[in-house]
Amino acid sequence: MMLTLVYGDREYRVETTGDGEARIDGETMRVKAQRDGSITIDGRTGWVARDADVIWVFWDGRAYEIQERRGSTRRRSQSHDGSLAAPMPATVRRILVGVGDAVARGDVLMILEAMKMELPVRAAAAGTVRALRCREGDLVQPGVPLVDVA
Amino acid sequence: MFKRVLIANRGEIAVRIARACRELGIESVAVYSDADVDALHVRVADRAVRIGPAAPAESYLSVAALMRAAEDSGADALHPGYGFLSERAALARACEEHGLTFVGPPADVIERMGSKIGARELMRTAGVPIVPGETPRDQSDAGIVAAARALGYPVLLKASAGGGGKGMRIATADEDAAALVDSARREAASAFGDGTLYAERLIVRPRHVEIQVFADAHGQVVHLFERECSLQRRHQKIVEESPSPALTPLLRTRMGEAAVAAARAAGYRNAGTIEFLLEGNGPDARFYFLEMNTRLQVEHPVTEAITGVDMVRAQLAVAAGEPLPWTQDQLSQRGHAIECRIYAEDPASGFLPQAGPLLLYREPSGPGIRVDAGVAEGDRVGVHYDPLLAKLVASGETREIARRRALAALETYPVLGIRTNVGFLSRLLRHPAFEQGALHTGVVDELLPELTADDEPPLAAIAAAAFASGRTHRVDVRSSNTSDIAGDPWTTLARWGR
Repeated sequence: MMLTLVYGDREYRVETTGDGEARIDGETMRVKAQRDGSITIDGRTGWVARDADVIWVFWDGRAYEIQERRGSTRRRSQSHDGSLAAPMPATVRRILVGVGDAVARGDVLMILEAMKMELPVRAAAAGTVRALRCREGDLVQPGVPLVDVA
Repeated sequence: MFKRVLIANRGEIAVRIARACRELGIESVAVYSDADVDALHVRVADRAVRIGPAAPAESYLSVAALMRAAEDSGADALHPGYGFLSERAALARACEEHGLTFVGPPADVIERMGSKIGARELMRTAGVPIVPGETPRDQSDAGIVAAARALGYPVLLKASAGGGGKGMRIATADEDAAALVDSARREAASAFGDGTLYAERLIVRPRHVEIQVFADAHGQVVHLFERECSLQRRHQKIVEESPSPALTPLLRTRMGEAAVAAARAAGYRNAGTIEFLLEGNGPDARFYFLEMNTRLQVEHPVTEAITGVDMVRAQLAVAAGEPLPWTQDQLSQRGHAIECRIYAEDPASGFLPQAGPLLLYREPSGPGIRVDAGVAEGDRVGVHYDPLLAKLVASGETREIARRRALAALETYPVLGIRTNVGFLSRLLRHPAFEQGALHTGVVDELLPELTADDEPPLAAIAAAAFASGRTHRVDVRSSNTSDIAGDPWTTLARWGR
């Protein structure tokens, strides 16, 4: 079975076989998935869990969020790709960028305030600000996109 | 000893206190808000009382709600944990009025130590070193510069009337001070309506080293050595250890004695912590009183690991009027312990707190590993409270053994479904600055770019993901009554029973 997995900007074509082999970039690995969510590959063990959109993988002490591109659709994901949302109900204190601005990964795009804390919203990747979906002073809800960077 | 203790807190510390109660044969009473109906601390306690809606002000921060819960459950003592109301004199006072024993210091001591200026004055009279500083009587430009020079540069100029960084200036020489006085004064006047300036020696790249103290009602005061807590983000500790790599035996003794003197001067009772700033290294290092925390600390397991005592048990005993279970001579520091705080937060986006389901959560175990957690697999982390999930404490004979143990444990600590700082902590503990113990309170900020650098997943992680897409590990996520998750498919799955 062929799968396309996406991590950040990179795509991986993975071929899996029924008897527990995976081939990526010309490399073949023996994979054993356990029922407890752990997966052993060539003697090393990691963990996986899946929710609707994201496959979470814990490998060598790091967690990765990997997406599967389904079927023939060319969209990278169903959600607003590159958009950033508040993790909790918060007030937009300051917006530091405008539409069209080029931003680097880690740049602070806006400052939210919640639980008496200032929370900087940072660009997850380099790109251009495509849209601002909130204004200073807005009360925003979790999961609602605030700014699109692509 | 008490019959029934109300635990006025939530999360890992409430679980920790409930455990101590069980060992002592005391019934534990948890309190919960509507967001915590199925929370771990509710599940482990002997009984539980609802205290209000999710908003902290109406539940965990409501003295009235806690008093009602204590009355309804027939509790004879209240343990405040840390955070929330633990350092509010009002709670201690309310307990007194309701005939409840407050597991902590007397209300007036909480009040005294809660005032920065009052505490500083008290320390000065007790002979405990404080950061040199004064509000110069002569507030003219020349008067301020003279005061700054007398303190020794660099000097921090700030508003005498308030804090929060308003009007704060760093002067490194006379010319600097003269040039900065005016703007500092103007900013202070506009922020606080009072342009009076305060000048303080700036401690450059200090370490944060604190001493655990314990006092009983019979005049006995001891210290349980230090904890080094220099690794902080947003002024909040993330890694703590003991012993501090910076203390010489002589300095340790002097700081311990100063902390005991401070606790005595404050009329202290129960567990408390004296926080110090440490300047310099080796025998020349100097320490200055920062503040006193009149409660149990998050990082108390570090002290438990190196001294072998149970601090919560001792807190309950002392609150019940028993003498301290140990004398100073019976206490010793053995080996090394490192605590890592596991937070639901995203280090790559400014440590933004995260909410979501714990699809998979497996704690590490093994020799020298302790995990104090407030969550379990299947729980949902909400948005209302501090995002601390758990504390991992690794101990061993030496710092290096403890460090490697902590690293090995972090690497077998999968938390999936929500972003956490687990990977960040691994990188931090692996960093040469940590390995060498070269710490100061700004070190995390300095290293942030390398500690949060994005890296490509190894191909094995991609292969693992490929197999996850076919074979899915699923857990039922416990729903909690928060509006933010309405409509989320996870919340409609079956609930787990208590």
